[in-house]
Amino acid sequence: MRVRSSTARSLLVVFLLLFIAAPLTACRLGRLRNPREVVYWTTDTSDIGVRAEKAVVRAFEQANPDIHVRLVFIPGGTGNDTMLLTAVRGGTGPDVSRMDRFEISQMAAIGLLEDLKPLIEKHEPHLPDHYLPFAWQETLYKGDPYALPTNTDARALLYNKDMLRAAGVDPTVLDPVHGPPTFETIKRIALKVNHLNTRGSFDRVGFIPWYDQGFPTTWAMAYGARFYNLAACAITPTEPAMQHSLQFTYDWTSIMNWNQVSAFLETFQPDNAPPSQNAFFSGQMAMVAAGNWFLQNIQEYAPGLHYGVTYLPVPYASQAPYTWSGGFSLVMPKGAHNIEDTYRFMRFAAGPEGQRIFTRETSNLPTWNELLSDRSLFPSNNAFFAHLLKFSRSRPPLPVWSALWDELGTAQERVILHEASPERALQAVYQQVQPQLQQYCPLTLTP
Amino acid sequence: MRASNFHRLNRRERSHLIKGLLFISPWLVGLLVFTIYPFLYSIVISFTRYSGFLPPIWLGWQNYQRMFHDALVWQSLYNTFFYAVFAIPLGVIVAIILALAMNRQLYEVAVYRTALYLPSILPLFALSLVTLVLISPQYGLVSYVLTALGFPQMDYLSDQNTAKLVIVALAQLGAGNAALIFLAGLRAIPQTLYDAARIDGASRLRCFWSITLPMLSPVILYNIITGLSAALQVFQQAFIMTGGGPAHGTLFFFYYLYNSAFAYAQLGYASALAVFLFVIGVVMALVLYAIAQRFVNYEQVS
Repeated sequence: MRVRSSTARSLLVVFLLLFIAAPLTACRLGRLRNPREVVYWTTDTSDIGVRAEKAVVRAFEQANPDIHVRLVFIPGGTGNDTMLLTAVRGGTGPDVSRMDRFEISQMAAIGLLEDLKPLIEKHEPHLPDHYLPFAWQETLYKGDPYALPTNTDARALLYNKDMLRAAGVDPTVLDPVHGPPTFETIKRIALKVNHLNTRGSFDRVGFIPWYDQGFPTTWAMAYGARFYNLAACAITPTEPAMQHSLQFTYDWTSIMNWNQVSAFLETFQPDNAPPSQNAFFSGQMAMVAAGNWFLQNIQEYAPGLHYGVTYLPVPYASQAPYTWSGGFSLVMPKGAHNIEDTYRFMRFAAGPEGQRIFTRETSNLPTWNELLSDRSLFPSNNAFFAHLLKFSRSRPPLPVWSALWDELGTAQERVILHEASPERALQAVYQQVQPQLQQYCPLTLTP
Repeated sequence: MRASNFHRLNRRERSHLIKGLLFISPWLVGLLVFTIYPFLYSIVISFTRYSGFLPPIWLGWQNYQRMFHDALVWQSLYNTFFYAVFAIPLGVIVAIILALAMNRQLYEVAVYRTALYLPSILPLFALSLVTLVLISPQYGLVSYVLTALGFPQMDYLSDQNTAKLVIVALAQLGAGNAALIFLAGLRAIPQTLYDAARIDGASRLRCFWSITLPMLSPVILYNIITGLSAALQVFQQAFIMTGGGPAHGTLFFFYYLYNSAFAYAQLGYASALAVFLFVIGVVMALVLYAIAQRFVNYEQVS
């Protein structure tokens, strides 16, 4: 009896010690961090992105040997902030993170981000003047900056010259000297290229308006979409431009329906395919609405491709060119420790040194004004994208873009699936997202 | 009341009680910290607007009111019930068939049991990725067989209904767990019942309908209730394979809850959705239980 109870007691003691020790060790490990370390999270895990991020970090560490940057690649795709939100809530977030600029106002509004105003005012009050105005605007929430812009981008139409020739189309009709091609022209070419195999599936397509950068917002910009009404504090998804945009994709389904396109894409470029497996590279898709970073992918994975770049197609003949720009930025989430070193890194990566490296490695466009006049940064077709910036618009920094973007995508899908008319699908977007915007009214945006 | 009961115990009993509680303390602490506390906490924040960063703002019943006007709540509930209606009965049928196969009196039955159970130990995300390959329109084995049978070559995930059915079919790859429980149930049926039936001239089918199924009915009820709970929480497959699309066709309730909490940082609204799902789950389990009482046979045969 005595033995048994003493065994039980010692067991208990050992057990309780373990129980108490476990969390303590965890705390201890947490505290072992190098005080001069900056933890940097990025969601760009593509080969090209990894190389570029590493190059920027390396350059920073060479210039600042006293600081160490720990680069952490977060899977889940760019624009997926679930891990960041969860980690910061749990107190294990990074010091700095890469974030899509159009989400900044939303993430600032929910309280995820540190206000950078005090740091900027302390170090260099004129910093905003160095950035492209629209890029800087996108970092603001209620007038305060919550991010430093890194790269920007633009969208254009890329066309495979060999595929066009094979289909009996002279590729020079798409040369940018003729200005933007019309939707009609693109449709006529696409019909010549489209080809069905013996099983009745497409093995060659001309153009898919809901593929890659063919977002509902892209075509809505062609019709001059406004996206919101500041005075009414309302999003305007049912505006005519948005309806025309969805109507354009709807009309396209008379050429090729959703199921056919899905089967085509699943075959030649499945969701989980590596970036090298691309229907445009493999000569299965003749035209694609793509961003400038696509050039780097071509150089990397299909260097022999004969392709050209022109303006995005327009609905009406002799319409002025248009495109839209987004891009990324660096943010400091709440709970960042080592704020001064972190800011130094952010300032470097988002400054001329970091942007120069990033632009070279990724074929992106810089947001740092002075770099835009450096011709050496824009070899061959990249120069066309840099030239596009003067026609470009950006999305207004609404604090509900994540939800709005997702719902507009769904509206486009519903229309392509013939499940709803453009008007009904867009009304659903309004009903879904407007209540979320309501809490931020009145809005203070600088259009 | 508790205290007086505690004092009524003698010293030895009291010391045993304390030691007993200490021994189960990891479980008790786990239950309190990881289940009871978050459960109560989420009920409280379901009445607030809370992103997880700024202090919560009290909204009263607003989240619940918003829920009833939110088209995606109804769409995702529809998707979830669509899934449940197909997945639960199919799951029971597949599991019983697997259990019957595992119960054959063969020398090499252990090999079959292992083979049939093996997919169940694979993580769901691995099964999802395997399924993506199987149904690839051009190279997938399943697509190949279906087109050979005259079906059109298509991407089954591109249609709202077929995408849900793919996820239903995928769930059957994990039927091995339920099959093991059915197998245990089958083994517990006394052989004498079958012997008696055979003497009376019953066919094998008659034996199955009149002996096996009624004797398995408690296990079937158990599986339906756990299946219901799993169906209400279906998420991972859609997250990996379809991202909730096309056009919200596979946006299940749990997926919408996840998006609200983790993508749009609306913890209050997501908690309200969770409370709603909990109520639905409890009500459905109770209804099912009440109906099933008539069909379930708990009689022990000695």
